[in-house]
Amino acid sequence: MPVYKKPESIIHTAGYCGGCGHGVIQRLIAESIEELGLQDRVIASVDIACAFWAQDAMNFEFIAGPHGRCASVATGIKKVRPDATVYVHAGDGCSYVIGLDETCYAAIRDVPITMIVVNNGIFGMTGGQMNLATTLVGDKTLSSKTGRKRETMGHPVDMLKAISNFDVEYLARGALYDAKHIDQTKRYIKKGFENQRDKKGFSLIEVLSPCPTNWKLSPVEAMEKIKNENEKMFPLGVYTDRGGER
Amino acid sequence: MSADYVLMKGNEAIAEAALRAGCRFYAGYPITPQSEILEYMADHMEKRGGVFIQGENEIASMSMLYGAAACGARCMSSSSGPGFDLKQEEISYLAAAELPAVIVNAMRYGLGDGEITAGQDSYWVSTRGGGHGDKRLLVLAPASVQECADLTYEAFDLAEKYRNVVEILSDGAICQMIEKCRLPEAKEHGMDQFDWTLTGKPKEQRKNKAYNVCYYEGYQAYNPRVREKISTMFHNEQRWESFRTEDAELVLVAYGISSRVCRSAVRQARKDGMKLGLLRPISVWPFPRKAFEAMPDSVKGYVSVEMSLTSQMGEDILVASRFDRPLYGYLTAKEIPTAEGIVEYCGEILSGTIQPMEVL
Amino acid sequence: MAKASANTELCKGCRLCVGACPKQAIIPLETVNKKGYEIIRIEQESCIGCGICYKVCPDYVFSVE
Repeated sequence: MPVYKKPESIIHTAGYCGGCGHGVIQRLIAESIEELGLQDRVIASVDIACAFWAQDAMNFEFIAGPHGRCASVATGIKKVRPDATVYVHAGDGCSYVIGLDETCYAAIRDVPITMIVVNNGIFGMTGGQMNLATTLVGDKTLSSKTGRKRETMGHPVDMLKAISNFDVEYLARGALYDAKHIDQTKRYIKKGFENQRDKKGFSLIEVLSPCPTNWKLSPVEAMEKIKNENEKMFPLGVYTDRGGER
Repeated sequence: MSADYVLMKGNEAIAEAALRAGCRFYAGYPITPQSEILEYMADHMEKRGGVFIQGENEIASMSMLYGAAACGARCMSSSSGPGFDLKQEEISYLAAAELPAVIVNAMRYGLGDGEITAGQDSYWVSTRGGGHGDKRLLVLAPASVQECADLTYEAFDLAEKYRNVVEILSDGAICQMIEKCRLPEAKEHGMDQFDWTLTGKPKEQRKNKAYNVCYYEGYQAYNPRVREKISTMFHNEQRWESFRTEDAELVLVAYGISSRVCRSAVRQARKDGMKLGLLRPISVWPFPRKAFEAMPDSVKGYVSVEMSLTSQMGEDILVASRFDRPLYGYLTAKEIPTAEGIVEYCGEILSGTIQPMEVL
Repeated sequence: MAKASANTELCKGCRLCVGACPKQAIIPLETVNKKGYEIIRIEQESCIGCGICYKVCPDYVFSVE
């Protein structure tokens, strides 16, 4: 019978809202790193949005830099400390909107980092504005109060599909709406860290994650929304696996 | 000429001196007139075991530098004009995390795109700038290829000594000028010599964090400590050169390319019996206020010689001199000043036909 | 057999565990913890130690040993 116990790299409770997916993602990161025996040489680049709280919760070295530039900051670190395990934990605003440029060029350079992108379809830290890349058409946010309109605000984008045009190591999308999908997401994240351990290229794992506070739904309803709505726009699975299954 | 000397462009001297200081990380984006720094790094950095990255833009380049600086690597980036504007955000973050780095600004003239030629109108963004928030950059202004090398070489030590960004403020003339230069000795820099760097540490070791120091130090400790740091830099790092000021009637104040012309103007004027002197700030932040304390009584006024539209350095001169003498401005905007023009202007000042400058 | 235990001081009252438990062994309570969140209780006799509560909980409330 397996034993389930909070990974020891998590040293404090997560500072997130109730039902937020960031806490689960932190656990998946910590478990993957520990299971691969990488926990003694980790540097994490977090965005100054919700992922910033990870640095209070986890016993790793952290850097937080300019909003949106996590992939660049991690690139600088990995280049001068190639033996460290360098990962990004950032949101979809950081990675796909203000920092799309930086994310894409980290991918194009094929920098061997592991990038975890939390797709919650909204700007969480700033209080719930529209995310140009991930808010679904029709979704109501503080900056699209009657719902996102395609005609004026554009359509959300499947960034994994876009980034899969680049020559990268690994791209996958998971979701957190039930234990089975959480397990699948963990396999993706762990693969991302394995790739880095094996000195392969750029790995990005996107996670469909709830923001009950800003979606103005209960945590349970928020998980239902991911399953019934968001997943249709952002299909789960592996988009790129250059090295193939081992 | 001794075999120790080489003939180099200002930009190349900056790049080579940085490499010899142990700089092993460069990220930047091309823009005239500083691009030779980037090109030199592209050619030489990897051979010295370092990392060269041509960034997708200035912001990304500086963000990569921010990461590398947090790991303790000696880091440099460079730009000009609008490219330097784009670096401001990350300079503020470097200051917030108190990370050392050396940033070169080879000034070109003008607003917006401006010109690709020399100018000195990035004085404000350099001495006051570095993005939002309270901080100061140490700003050193070379006036020769030799100084390009020497100041850059030393800039890395200063950056680490104060955990502060150091800016090398050159201009389109100094950085493109080819002169003889004696290069400093090459040395290696140990990335792991500091206790504040990110290395990736085992679980039992205390972890470092790189972001706003005030968050983890606490404002109560941070505020007085950083005020003290800025004050120490201000008092200890004022650098200047005085040339024939001991009996001068008018003292020209100029840095970079303008100061070279001013030196000729002083010599030329003195042949005709007009006693000019030159005060050349080498550090423009801290502005060399101490130099003004020792001015002889013979000095009737100061003349700020700058390649800018309005005087950007003027208010620093007024504060440094405590408004004790009139200040005149010889402002040539996109033209490099001429010695003849300066001498003629000073003659008119002394004959009373020119009024002191209103600093705007 | 392994059983789940809960450190309800960490709980933020999201209730994700309640619906996820295949044995309906997690009971939502109106009792609040020090942070003011309504917590849960595990019915030990129904728990099969499957670890689903551990997996879905964002706040590391559960362990199964």
